[in-house]
Amino acid sequence: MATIIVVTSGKGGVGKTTTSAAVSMGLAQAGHKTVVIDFDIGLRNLDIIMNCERRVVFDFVNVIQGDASLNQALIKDKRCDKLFILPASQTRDKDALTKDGVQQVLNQLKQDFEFIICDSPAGIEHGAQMALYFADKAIVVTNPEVSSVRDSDRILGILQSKSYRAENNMPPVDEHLLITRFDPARVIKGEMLSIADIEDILAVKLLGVIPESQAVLNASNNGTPVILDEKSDAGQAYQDTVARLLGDDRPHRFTEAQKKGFLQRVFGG
Amino acid sequence: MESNALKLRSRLSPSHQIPVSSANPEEFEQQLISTIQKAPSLFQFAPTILDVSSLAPIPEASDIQAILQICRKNRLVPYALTSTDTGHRNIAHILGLAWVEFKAGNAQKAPAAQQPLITETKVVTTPVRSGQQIYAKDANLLITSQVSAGAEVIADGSIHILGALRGKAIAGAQGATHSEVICQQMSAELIAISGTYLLQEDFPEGSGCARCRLDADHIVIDYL
Ligand SMILES: Nc1ncnc2c1ncn2[C@@H]1O[C@H](COP(=O)(O)OP(=O)(O)OP(=O)(O)O)[C@@H](O)[C@H]1O
Ligand SMILES: [Mg+2]
Repeated sequence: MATIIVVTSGKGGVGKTTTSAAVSMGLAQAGHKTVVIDFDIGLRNLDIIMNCERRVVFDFVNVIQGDASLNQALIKDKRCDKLFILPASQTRDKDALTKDGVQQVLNQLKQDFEFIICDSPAGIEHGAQMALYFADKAIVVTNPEVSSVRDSDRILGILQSKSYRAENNMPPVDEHLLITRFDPARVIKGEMLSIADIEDILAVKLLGVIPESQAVLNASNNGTPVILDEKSDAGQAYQDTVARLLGDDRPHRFTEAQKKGFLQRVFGG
Repeated sequence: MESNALKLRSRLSPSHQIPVSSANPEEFEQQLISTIQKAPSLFQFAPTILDVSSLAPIPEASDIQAILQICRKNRLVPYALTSTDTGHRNIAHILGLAWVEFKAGNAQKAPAAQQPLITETKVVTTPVRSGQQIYAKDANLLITSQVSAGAEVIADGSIHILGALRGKAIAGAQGATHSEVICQQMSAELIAISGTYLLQEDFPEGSGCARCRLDADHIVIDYL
């Protein structure tokens, strides 16, 4: 049975695409055949983070509209042969995604893949609703700030009431909270919400905490999902996240401010 | 070519129903201002239905026109008339307002003895999230989880929340004055009981488990 996982947030720019890229690569590296779909029609950027933008010939909308077959549109990742990317269209408008069209493509993908990751666009409108509609699991990406938490709460409400599972009285979408761009030092200064605050407000189980990290920027500039940067904090945090998604029980790391080292104490910084 | 028909959506959205007890503009304005002062933010450009039941004999359209102007001046958006007397309907037509069937929403008018006994309870076991609204019609409401900021829970009877209340809770929505709101962790944006409101900024000091009830015409919050 294939599992459809939506990566969603409501608020823009919180790390959905970064997470989609990392999680899909992580699952594929663990041996699970995985496809990641870019639902952000008009704003292609998953393909850039996956470093395959020059290999895009056909896209998701082409497949929905019957202008290309799924096999023509799927791009195989060069680093991991279990990973495929279904890119978004840069040119078409968002209404090209229809419920029936999306369902058809997902049904076809389900026969071949173990995991289908849907990278949602920002907002709570049509595109975001299409990305989450057929989900079995949701990774709700939240930054430690009030507006992001509030938007995540809204998205959780939509998952609860307007998803396929909700509308068909099936067991609810399995919700997971992923806190990204977390900076413990700023929590101590009172500039960011703490993990406990966010968990308390959202009442959803915590899947992982990804620290604010320069490694993410470096990775996206290089077109490598940050999970491949095994030495980095963010890469390791994403590895833990994928392991938990697969049922492993791992403690949360990178949640406490680092004590300043001796040299830093002497020289400041 | 086929003409493009408009796509209709029917929707229910909450409105204020304000009783017009006097056709005298100054008197009405005074009453209105003192009502608005209790919770100004609730009335900012709020859709409003004017209940003109108590205006007898039937006033001139121009009298109601004056009342409308006072409403607009005070940032209400009156769009409809209602009355127990359908004789008022014609005024609505003349003034280009909607006419809505009379619905008793005014607690002060309904004597306690006539309040129906509410015995049903609607139970919600999932969190009520921002943007969601739950309405327990002719029932009490039991929420076993939490109510987020930006969410709204409404009941014709009382509301019990076993988790945190961070959104709005509106009990006694049809006028049952004995309705209460009880929650384990009180951080509400607003409490309303039977048409009387209290905003967070006007809450008494305190936190934790709370019981909110109506005493005469104001809301009392007891922290337990
Ligand atoms: N853990 C992190 N540390 C530092 N920067 C991050 C982190 N996660 C994401 N970013 C940066 O934040 C920006 C937005 O990330 P991303 O594109 O993944 O967000 P998004 O939620 O997909 O945005 P959109 O809503 O526009 O689709 C990018 O510049 C990315 O490099
Ligand atoms: Mg994105």
